[in-house]
Parts: sequence; structure tokens; C-alpha cells
Amino acid sequence: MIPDLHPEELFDKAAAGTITASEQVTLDAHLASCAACRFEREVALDFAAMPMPNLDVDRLVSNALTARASENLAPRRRRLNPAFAVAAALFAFGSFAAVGQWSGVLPRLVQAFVAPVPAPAPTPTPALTHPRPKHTTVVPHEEAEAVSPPPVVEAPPPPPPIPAPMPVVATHPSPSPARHQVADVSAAVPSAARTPVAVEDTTPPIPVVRVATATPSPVVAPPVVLDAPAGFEAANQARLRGDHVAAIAGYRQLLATWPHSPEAALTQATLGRLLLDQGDPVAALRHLEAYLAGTDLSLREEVLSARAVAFMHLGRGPDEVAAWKLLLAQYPRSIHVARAQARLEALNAAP
Amino acid sequence: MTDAVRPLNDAAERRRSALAELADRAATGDTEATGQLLKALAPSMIRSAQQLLGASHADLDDVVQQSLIGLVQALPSFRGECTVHHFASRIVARTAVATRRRGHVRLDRQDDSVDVDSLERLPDSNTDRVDAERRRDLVRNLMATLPAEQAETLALRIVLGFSLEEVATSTGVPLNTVRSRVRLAKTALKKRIEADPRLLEALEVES
Repeated sequence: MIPDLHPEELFDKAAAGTITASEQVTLDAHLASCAACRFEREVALDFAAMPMPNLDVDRLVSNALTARASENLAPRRRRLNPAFAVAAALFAFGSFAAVGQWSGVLPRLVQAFVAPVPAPAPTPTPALTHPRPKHTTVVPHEEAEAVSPPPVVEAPPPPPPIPAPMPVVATHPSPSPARHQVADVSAAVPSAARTPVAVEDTTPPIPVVRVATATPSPVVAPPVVLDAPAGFEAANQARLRGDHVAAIAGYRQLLATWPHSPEAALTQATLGRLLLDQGDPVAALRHLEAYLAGTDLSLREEVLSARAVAFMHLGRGPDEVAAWKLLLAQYPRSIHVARAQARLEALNAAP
Repeated sequence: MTDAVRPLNDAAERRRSALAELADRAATGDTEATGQLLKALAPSMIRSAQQLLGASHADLDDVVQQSLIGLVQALPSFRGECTVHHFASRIVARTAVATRRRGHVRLDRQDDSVDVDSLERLPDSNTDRVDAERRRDLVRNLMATLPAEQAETLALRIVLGFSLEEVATSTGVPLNTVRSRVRLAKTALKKRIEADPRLLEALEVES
């Protein structure tokens, strides 16, 4: 039987070389009878004997600095408190239910949910007060994960004073647990809508109501409202969790939709770096140079380095030399100095 | 302390002070200091990640990357209770343990860190290496199943070689709590060893 009590302090003293002779005797006696401690000692040596892995320290550090600079911008955007989102969702639904009951929308909705009819072909919803973005199609969760750009959670718009159907929560299905929390609220709304059953619909339909009831899922459909900070943050999150495909798609979407936003400059740098790491120096170079053409300086040092690396991958020796020299001239104390000098030496040695 | 040891300790102390100063500057947003700090700590963080995950683990690069970013994000909360090196190691340990736990189900069936083909080709003289990898894997797999606090303690203590006091200061928990976690982790380790006849034989357990 292996004993459960282990002289941990004696192990520490032995490791520090401060163990006394009598303590050593005690430790040896314990080791003779305790397989767990013998194992621990042996495996500690095994771990210490592992060779150093061959990872590119410069690249990892550079990526971390890029990520830091990107995230410096993120806190400017007010984050949506999940509790607020839930409260807002409930408030919006409550308002909708009250107004719907008053105007006859709710009975028709209840009827639609209790006795669903075959769904008609999707029709546009002109009565909505907020423009619908592209991704309003309701898709199953798994499918949404596969096809959608990075998820974004937005605060619901305030309820308007007129009885118009409102989106309950502007969410998009997301693989992250925190966002599931909000998405689940909107998913729960239809069941809540089913609760007040047995309401006779005696009021004549109102045109705006007909629009809402024509589509069987107006309450479920969560319109996605994207903005540049949201898109930037979502793409950053995708990048940090290693989903580079989603990150690249998110950054590209941001550049296409909000090319003049403050986030666009950093996106050029981050996307360039990401594409470079993904082995696409041509596309990377395009974004890196777009960043350098702008006025943002926060990532300039990193971008100059990445640009030189892109030239290296493309075999554009003279451009690479010029890029490294520019970096050295502008950032003589850069963390990339050693690499720049090594590359310059290598290139000068070439015929 | 002998005269021979003192200069080494002084050098280590100077290095610790330099890192602490860099950490202070980096915490205020000094990009240059952040870059220098990351460059100084990255090799040991890479090594820690490799020890915790295995040399050829698919997520090794990502874990190092996340740890570096995590370190930068956590610097403002660093109060100097432990060394910067230990602070960084703890971040790596947490990130690696979390990664290991996420991949636990998959790793139960397949271990990326062991190249079966290469093991089969190993000559008899390399069986020590195979045994060493087997022991390391046992600890890594155990970390994926233990409660998070115990797994982190096990990682710091056994894999990264922290003393009890270093574990306590870097995790910010009382020494007795660390003792308790180590004891519980070792109890779990004992069960693993007892369930592995080959290890039992190798360790020559006296039952």
C-alpha cells in the first residue's frame, strides 16, 4: 500500500540543496516505501530533461504585441452586459406582448404558433423600423456556425412608442458559451409566446400585423446589427481562439463594410500579419502596405517587420533589404533588430 | 552561502529585478518594455508549454501564443508577490491545462505527442526514453482529469518544479491549501500508478 502523507518540504529542501543529513535519511526512508513520490521524483527529472522546442520566438512575440495593440482599441466599445441583455430582451418582449395583445398581434401570433400552417415563401418585411442586414435568415444553430461570419452581440434598440413589432434581441448564434447565454434568451421567447394560449382573435387584422404574421418566425428571427467595433472584436476573438478562417473572414468583412472606421487601420495590420502566418505573403503584403499608407502608428514597427518578412517569402531581395533598413532607421531599438541585421547580412552576402 | 554560489545568486537577483522593472513599465502600456519582457520570458514559457503538453502537441504554438497574450493582459494585476518568471509560468500552466482538458476526450484515444512509428523503430537502448515519455504522459493525462486547482498545482509542482512556497505565492493561495492540493493530486496519481501494472513493476512498489 502506498502511504498518503508525503514529506513535501523535504523534497523542496533536497531540490534547494539545504537538506540536512537526518532529513535526508527521513526522505530516503519515505522514498523507499512510496511509489508515488518515487514516481514524482523520476518524472520531474523526465520533464527537466526535455529538449527545447524549436518555435519562432520573434513571431510569437510579434503576434502577441499585435494582439495587444488590437485589443487596446476594443475597450472603447461599451461591452454588452449579459444581465442587461436579458433584461432588455424581457422588456422588449413584454412591450411587444402588451402592444400585441392590445392591437391583436399576439392572438394571431399565438394562433400561428399553436396551430402552425405551412410557411409561405419568405417575403420582405417592409414594416420593420430598422433596416435588416444581410444575415437575417434563420438557420439552424450548427448551420449558422458553419456559414456565418464571426458572431456579434448588439444591444437591442429601444422600443418605439408606436405599436410596431420589434426585434427582441439582436443576437446571432455563436459558438461561445457567453453568447449562447444571450442567444438562448431569444430562443426561449417563442415558448414564452406560447404561454398565453386560448385567446380568441376577434380584432380585425391591421396591415402591419399581417406582415408580422405572414412570416411565422418574426420573434425568433434575430437580426444581426454589425458595427465596426463589434466586427473587429468578433474577428479578434476568432483569431485568439485559433479560428483563423473566421478571423480572416471577419477582418475582410470589416474592411469591406467600414473601410474608413478607426478599426480598419488596425485590421489592415492584423489581417496582414495573419495572412502572412497563413502562408499568403501576397495578400499579406497588400494589407500591410495599406496599413503603412495610413496615419496609425501604433503597429508600424510590427508591420514594417512583417512586410520585410513577406518580401523574404516572396524572394524579393532588394525590397526586403529596403524594408529591413527602413525598420532599423525608424526603430533602432526594435525587438526585430537582431533579425533585421541577420537578414541584411545574409542578403548582402548573396551575389 | 559559499563564495562560489553568491555571484550566481546575485546575477539571478539582478535578472529578477530587471524583469520586474520591465514588467512594471509594460503594465503601464510601454510597448518597448512589453516587447523586451516578452522576448525575455518567451523561451521559458515555450519550454513550460512543451513540458505541459508534449513536444509535438498540435496546440503547442497556440498555447504559447495565448500565454504571451494572457501575460500582457494580466500584467496590470501583477503585484510582485512572486517573480515575473513564476507569474508567466503560472499563466502557461493555466492555459496548457485548460487546453489539455478540452482535448481530454480526444487524447484518451490518441496521443499526439507520441509518434508510434518512431517508437517501434527505437532500439533497446532507447527504452528509457519510451519509459520517460510514458511517465510524462501519465502526468499530463492526469492533469486533464483532475479539478482545475489540483491540476494547476500538479503542473506547477511536478512538471515545472516549483517549491510549495513558490506555488503558494504564484497562485495566491495559502501554503496549507497548496499542501492539501498536492496531497489530493498525489492520491489521484497513486491510483493511476496502481492501475498501471507496467509502472508498478518499474517502480518496484512494496505492497
